[in-house]
Amino acid sequence: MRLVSLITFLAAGVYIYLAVYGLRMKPRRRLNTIFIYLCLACALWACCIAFMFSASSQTTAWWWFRMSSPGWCLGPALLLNFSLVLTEARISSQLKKHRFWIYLPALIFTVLAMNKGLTANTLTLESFGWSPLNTGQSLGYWAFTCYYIICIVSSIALVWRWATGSTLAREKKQARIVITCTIIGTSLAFFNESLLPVLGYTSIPKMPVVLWLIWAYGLWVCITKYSFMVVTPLVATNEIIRSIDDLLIMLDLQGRIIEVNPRVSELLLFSYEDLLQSNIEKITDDPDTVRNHLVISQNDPSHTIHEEIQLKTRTALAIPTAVSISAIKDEFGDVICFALIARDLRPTLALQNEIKERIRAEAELKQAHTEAELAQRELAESEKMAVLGQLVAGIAHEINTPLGAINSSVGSIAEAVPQTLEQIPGVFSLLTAAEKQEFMQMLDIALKADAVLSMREKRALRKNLTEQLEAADISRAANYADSLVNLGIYEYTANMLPLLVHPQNELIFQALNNISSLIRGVKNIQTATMKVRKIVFALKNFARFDNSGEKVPSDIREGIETVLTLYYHQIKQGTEVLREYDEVAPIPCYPDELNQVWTNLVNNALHAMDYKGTLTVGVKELHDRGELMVYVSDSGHGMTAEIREKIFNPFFTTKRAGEGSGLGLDIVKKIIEKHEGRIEVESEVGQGTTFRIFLPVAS
Amino acid sequence: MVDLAILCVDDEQIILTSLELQLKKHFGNQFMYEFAESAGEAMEIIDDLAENGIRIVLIVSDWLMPGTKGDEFLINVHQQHPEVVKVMLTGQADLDAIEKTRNQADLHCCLYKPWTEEELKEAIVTGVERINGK
Repeated sequence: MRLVSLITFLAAGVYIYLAVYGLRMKPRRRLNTIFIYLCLACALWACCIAFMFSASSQTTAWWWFRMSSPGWCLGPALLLNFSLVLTEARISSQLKKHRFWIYLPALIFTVLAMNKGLTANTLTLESFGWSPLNTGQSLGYWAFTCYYIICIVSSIALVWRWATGSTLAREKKQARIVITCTIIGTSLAFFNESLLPVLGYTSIPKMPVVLWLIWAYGLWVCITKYSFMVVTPLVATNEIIRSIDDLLIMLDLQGRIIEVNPRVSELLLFSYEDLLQSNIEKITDDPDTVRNHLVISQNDPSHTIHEEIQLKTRTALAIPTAVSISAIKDEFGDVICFALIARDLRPTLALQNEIKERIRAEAELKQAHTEAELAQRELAESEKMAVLGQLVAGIAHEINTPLGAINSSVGSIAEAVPQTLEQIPGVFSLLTAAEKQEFMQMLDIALKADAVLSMREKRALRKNLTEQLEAADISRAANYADSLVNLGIYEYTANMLPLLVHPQNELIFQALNNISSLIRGVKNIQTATMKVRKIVFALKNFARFDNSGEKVPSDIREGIETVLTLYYHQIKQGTEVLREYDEVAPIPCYPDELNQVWTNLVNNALHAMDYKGTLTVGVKELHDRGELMVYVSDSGHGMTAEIREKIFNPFFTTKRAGEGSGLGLDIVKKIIEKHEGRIEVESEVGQGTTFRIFLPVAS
Repeated sequence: MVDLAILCVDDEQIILTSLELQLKKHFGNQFMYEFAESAGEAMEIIDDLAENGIRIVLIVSDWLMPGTKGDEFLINVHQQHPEVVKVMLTGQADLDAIEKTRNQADLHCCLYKPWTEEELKEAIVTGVERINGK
């Protein structure tokens, strides 16, 4: 084994190692693949040359030399391709497709070299081993030399351009190392392989493959120190442009499309080639706007324009897009082209529409809710009015009764006044001083009398007095007793006797009767007026429509009493009312709404016992719980558990059709809930029903 | 001593007082006047008066009263004393009840609160005439 063989083998090992390294690099891309092929080519080259050096005969050496040719023929082409891919040279896609033609000369040279040797006519055995010798300087030799030089120089030029175009220091450094090492490596190899033999230095071993290690070393440094080949920003940039969802369109100064990303073709349904030969008119109906913006952008390149423009597809479908237009400048600051980045607005618009739709739906829901609330309030109000309507008939009676009394009393007084005024002087002239005094005393009693006696009591008093008068032997005792009782005189005294037995006693008592009629008439009017006042007050309380929507402090007992007043005519038919009221302070509430509650409960209670029985109403303060408990209890027929469960359901009623809306307790419950209170019911068939309402004392 | 009586029944004292004042003013001592606050009390008075040999010529009764209502009361009275003239005085026109009383108790007339003096007078006068005419 010769020394040169050993060295060359080592070089082959290095190449194989680099190939394996490239194979294991992640992510693996086209560049890595080319790099691996290049390393393998060099390794093959080195291996064959190593064997050639130590070949036992010229034939064997020649064979090994020819075997090495694929390595050194393909090497320069692979290097050029590597540079092309590395720098993503701006070549048209047409050309990119045909890039593999650069391998054609390499293959031709390989075939030639395999056949005849190409760069060598013969092999001579030198002191270091076999050495290929070119004697004729054939056409093939010069052709290959040209090919070699072109590939290397192009490759270097590409990397050079890439480095100058790059803004990254890392890339510039990579390029410097790669260029330096490539120049040194390939030049030395060229000298060693081709020039030295021509110049006559045949005794120097020809080891270009070893010299190429310099290039390999350069790459190695770049890979290990500067992440060469792992990610090249240019590749990444292209990948980003390829993968972004936005449309990237590059226009020249005339508005012609010079580049688009794949998304444009995808969305607008034009082929890439089709687009590249078109003007902006092809993809929008509004080219003037775009052109105007191009002019603006050109005049003020630092400014990016944002505009909504409709693009159109091949099928004439309009696509709304948000476009930003920026002018792209070259290194001298001149605008060379424009970049249009368009974002398909349809998803955005769809989203906007969805949001709008949701807002609208929400508003509708709110509206419906408000309407429902309003409807419920109206329902509650109408229910209240319905109850009031039912009450009106009874209340009319309640008012008509005192009105009738007032009316008739006024009539009676109106007639009694002149009569009395006429009679008094005549009567007085008939009386002695003592009799006058007695007369005046009787009037005094009549004026002061304020005892309210029942008819039964009066009848008893009258009967008693009649007997007393009869005992005193007074004629027409019943008549006098009637007059005296009406005056408020219930006991016979001897003082009365002169008046009773007076010759003009009838006239005297007529005057007294008239006066007592006046007094009683006036009192009757007062009583009747009080009754009317009470009813009107209750009505006013009940129908008070508080629209402020705010709670006001109110005495719960007053509300209950109001309702009891309005129900008086129904209650009096046979119901005994027991009031069990604690002394309670006013609590914040909606009084008119609570009145509706009491009305419903009282109405139900009366109905449950057919207006005969005991109605118990009570207000208790539960200090420990900060609540008022109001209860309405009847001695009626009670409810079964089944009915009790349903009573708060709207439209549930046990009353006959037309008698009840079935809304009463539903509304009661809602009102109580509005007060943040609760309602409980306890009922037993045949025993009666008790509703308990708990209201918070503080709001 | 008169032996003819007019009986007024109403649960409201003010009504009874008003009636008393009006009746006494117009008919003075022509009649005895009795007043009851309920149908039950009225029945007691009717019995009482009958015992004392006093004849009730006319009853004025309210309709809506605790316990027995006016129509029922008048019908009861009619069964025992068909000759008595019955007048209803009501603040609440329950047509069914009035019609029922008219049919079953030979109701003379029905007055509505607030009534006028003339109406009352007329009702009593015609009522008494009716008795006398029989």
